[in-house]
Amino acid sequence: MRPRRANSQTLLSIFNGKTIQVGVIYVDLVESTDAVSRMKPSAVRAYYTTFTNEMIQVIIDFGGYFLKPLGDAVVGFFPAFRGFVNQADNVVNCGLIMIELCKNSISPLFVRKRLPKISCRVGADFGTVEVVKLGVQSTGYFVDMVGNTMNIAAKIMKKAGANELLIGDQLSKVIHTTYRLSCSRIGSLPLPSPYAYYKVGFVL
Amino acid sequence: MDFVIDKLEVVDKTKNLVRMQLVPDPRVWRRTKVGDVSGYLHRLDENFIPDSVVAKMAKNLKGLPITTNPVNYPGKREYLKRSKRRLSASATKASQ
Repeated sequence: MRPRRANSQTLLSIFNGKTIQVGVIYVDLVESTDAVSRMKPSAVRAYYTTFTNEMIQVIIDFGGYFLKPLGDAVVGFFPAFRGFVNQADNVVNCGLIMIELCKNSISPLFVRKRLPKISCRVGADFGTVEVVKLGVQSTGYFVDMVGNTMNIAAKIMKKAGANELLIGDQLSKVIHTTYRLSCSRIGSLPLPSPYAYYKVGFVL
Repeated sequence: MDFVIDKLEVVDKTKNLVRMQLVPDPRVWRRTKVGDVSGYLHRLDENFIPDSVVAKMAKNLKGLPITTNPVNYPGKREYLKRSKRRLSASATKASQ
């Protein structure tokens, strides 16, 4: 039996109030609002739980942690406590497998269950985040990560098309060269200094 | 250290022999000086590799074949198979 890993809340509470280096990944269902509006409630439940649970599982399998669901998106992070090169590659592999799973595993299953096919878009970046405890005493607390890296990864994800993985400049700098050579620059985010993002253009 | 090809010339096409100049990837490594020592500074983790170390490394590479690892995740097929099993098991459970 595999040892049970600490969940992200346990891990992050150790770093509450500190700055840590992480790879951040956002995966989002494409055009789900439209699809869900035509579904029965039981189908809606199956649609979201299958996608969300599978994405969480992939994040964990690739050495990351599930942070939180965000509407129809899932946010994960890959702490770089013991060096970042392999973790950076893990983020990219994780994103590519997410796309493969949506195309070749979840969609065929959904078709069999008479649910609409799905596609996802993935955005990721690497950098420092601030660990903060949010909430009030009466409702309890949630340890979250905030900062530029989180915002950038979310913005990059929104630029991705269906079944596309886009990564930020910082992540593109820490992945292995062979990975980097397969990335093509798509554009830049209009931040105070323009921030480049890249499409990962290879198939695992 | 990651390198990119800076100059490439064909020496002998029949033998697939080429000569190339490799430079530390400028997206990752920045030329700088620490005190009097010139070298390359990693843009993210701030590791500094002096020119003398890079030169020594280049010398040691002499005669070694250059290889490149294809980008892949060797366990992909098995992983996808496992996930399909996991998915259908959870779908069956959900429909019971």
